[in-house]
Amino acid sequence: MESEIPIRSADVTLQRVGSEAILYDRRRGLAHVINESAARIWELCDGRATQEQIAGAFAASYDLPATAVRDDVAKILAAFQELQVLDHEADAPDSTE
Amino acid sequence: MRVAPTYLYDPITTSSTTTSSPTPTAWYSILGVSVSITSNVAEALQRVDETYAAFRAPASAAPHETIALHLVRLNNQDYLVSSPTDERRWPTYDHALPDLFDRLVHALLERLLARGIYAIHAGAVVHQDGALVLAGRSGHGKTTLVLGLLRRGLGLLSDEFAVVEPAARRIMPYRRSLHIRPGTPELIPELHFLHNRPRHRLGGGFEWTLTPHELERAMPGCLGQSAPLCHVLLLEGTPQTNARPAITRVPAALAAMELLRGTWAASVNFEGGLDRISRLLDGVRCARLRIGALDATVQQVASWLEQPHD
Repeated sequence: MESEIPIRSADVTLQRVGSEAILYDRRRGLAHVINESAARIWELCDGRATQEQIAGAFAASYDLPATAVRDDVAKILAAFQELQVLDHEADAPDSTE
Repeated sequence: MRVAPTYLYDPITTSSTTTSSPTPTAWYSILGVSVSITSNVAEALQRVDETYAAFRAPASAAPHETIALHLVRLNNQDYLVSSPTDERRWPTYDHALPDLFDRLVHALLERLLARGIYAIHAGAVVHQDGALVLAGRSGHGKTTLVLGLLRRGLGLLSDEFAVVEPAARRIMPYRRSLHIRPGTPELIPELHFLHNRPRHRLGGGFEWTLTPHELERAMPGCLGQSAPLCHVLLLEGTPQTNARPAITRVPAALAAMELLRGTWAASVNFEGGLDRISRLLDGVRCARLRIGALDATVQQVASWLEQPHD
């Protein structure tokens, strides 16, 4: 799971509003209000970073160890999956390849 | 007894090559948009004129840019309502008039959007040089609350649309007449005189029309000028006179979603509307308001407005 690479759906855009944000899914015609943390994680889903790398970058922005945020990041990504605002690329290539 | 304004009968604009009487036409300039209403039903012209009295204008020098609307009683007693896009036949006047009003509003919103002006379905008032937008569904007490706040000394921008100036975050005055429902004059002593007037079937039922001029006479100094948006209150449900009013802070993103629901432009281009409304709410304090008895609610709102921003 942590080696999966979450990628933002091309049909979904993020609009910042104050300290929160709105994810607009134009394909489904749905809009979701998310908090600052979720917005930051969304922005880190750039199609290159694995879930573990996202947790690391997210933690760094709050000056925290990755272990402190790993579970929360996983929950938020799972919520994004449930909302169907993410696509998933194939797992990250094995470093031995 | 009211007399139809003589400006309605403009021989220049209604000249006809036939020997039949010209159909009267009234002209308005609403936020710079030219509108004409042509009708052979005097009462229809009277109702429209009462609502848009503040926007009366001479015949447009650019008629091709005018939104031309018609309400015509046909020989078979049906009514035909038409706009630049289409027309519809109605069996009764009571159906035709609301359709005319709807077409006017939609055509106006479309024209305003083309000029980059957003109109949010909401009331708007001015408090100490900052605008407060009151968003809520029809029948949820917006107009009555607006009037209550005017009694408190706030300035009226509108009770129907909060009109946002393009390229700025200011709410402009929109001087459409107020449509007052039964029960409201009992809560606003300055409007007791309305009981001496007939009500007419308008968009929200049988209502009184109150022009800005009449409102200013009843409450001197109550008409506000454009102001930057500082506060948004989302009206929650119908007024509960036995409940304590309550104001609960909400994130700006939630407020944006509520305002978008009341913005026609967002139905045309949601992402564009989302972007505009989001930028509009940057730094704006947003909250949800449960309306109780009017005086208590006005007091609650006034206290909230006096609190410093976080």
